[in-house]
Amino acid sequence: MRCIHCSEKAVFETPPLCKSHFSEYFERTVLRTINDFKLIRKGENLAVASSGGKDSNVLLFVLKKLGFKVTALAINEGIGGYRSLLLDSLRKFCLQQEIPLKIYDFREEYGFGTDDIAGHGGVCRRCGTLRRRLINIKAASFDVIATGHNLDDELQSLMMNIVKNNHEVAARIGPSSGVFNSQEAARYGFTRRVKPLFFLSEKEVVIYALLNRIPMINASCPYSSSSMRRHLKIPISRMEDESPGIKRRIIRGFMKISGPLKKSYGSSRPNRCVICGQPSKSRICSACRIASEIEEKLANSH
Amino acid sequence: MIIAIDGGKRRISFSGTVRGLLEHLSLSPSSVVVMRKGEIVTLDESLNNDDEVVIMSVLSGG
Repeated sequence: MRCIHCSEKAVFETPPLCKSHFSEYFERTVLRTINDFKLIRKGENLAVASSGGKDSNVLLFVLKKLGFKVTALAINEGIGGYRSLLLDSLRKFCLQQEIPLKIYDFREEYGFGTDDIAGHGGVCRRCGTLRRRLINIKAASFDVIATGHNLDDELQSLMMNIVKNNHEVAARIGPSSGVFNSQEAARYGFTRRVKPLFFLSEKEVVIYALLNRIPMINASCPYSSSSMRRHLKIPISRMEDESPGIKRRIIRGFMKISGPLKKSYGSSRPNRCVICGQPSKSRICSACRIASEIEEKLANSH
Repeated sequence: MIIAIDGGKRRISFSGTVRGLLEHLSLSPSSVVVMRKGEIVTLDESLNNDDEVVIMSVLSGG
């Protein structure tokens, strides 16, 4: 198979592209997503929520290459043998790329790590809620938080939330997270969250990482085996094999109908959590509720 | 042919295209990248029985 632009050997099939034209296509798609959805304005200070995994490493690399001012912001949730491995790789990568890196620790911020809450049910939901809250607090001095969510992540989220009848969460799906526009988000205490890799598949992210020698650590979160997300990955890939481009078509189709959904959920304005002061729908935010439940359980188990 | 997959290596007897190899292994082409001699190979490329290939899963486990 030859590249449709230059007849060099292709490294990608749909459409056939060689190494350099694939990288060009990838970077152009990121830039187009940023411009079309007004994700980042010129001169804005960007925090990239970094896990040390391939998606956020690729995001750091490509945003820096496109001329954006980026800082890597990482959370150590305390998942032994997994996060430490990824954070070691992230430290080296940021040093090599001359990207500033800040790491915050669950145990220092909450007094416990994710390993301490395993066995108490809903590990992914609790860990994710606590991580998002910590990122929101630590990124308050930045204009935008960029996350490495790709097309596959977003399609899995969409399907999960439809299956769970969770339409409000589904409404948040888009290159710009949440149901509020940027002015509303700032007023309610959210730092804007954007997903510049929104229209790029996980396979495209891996190919870009390979071509640009971006580190990819082969490690799986020990708690993800039970998550619904994991069970959706293979059927979605099979759908794409049968009908190439279907993932992008579903997401683009959803984008056409998500406007009214966002508007309907955006009409309920958040309050402030009475404990932490972060935006919350209820008196006490879900992160504070989870943190106090865990503290209680841990105290009772000692 | 030697296949490196999921951190392990195994030998199988196979000649044909990359797509054929993935079918033979019941792997989804959308979920893997196949490499030979450090270079990415597309689904239509031919593989010989004396090739050594790496099959990398693209589905993250996080």
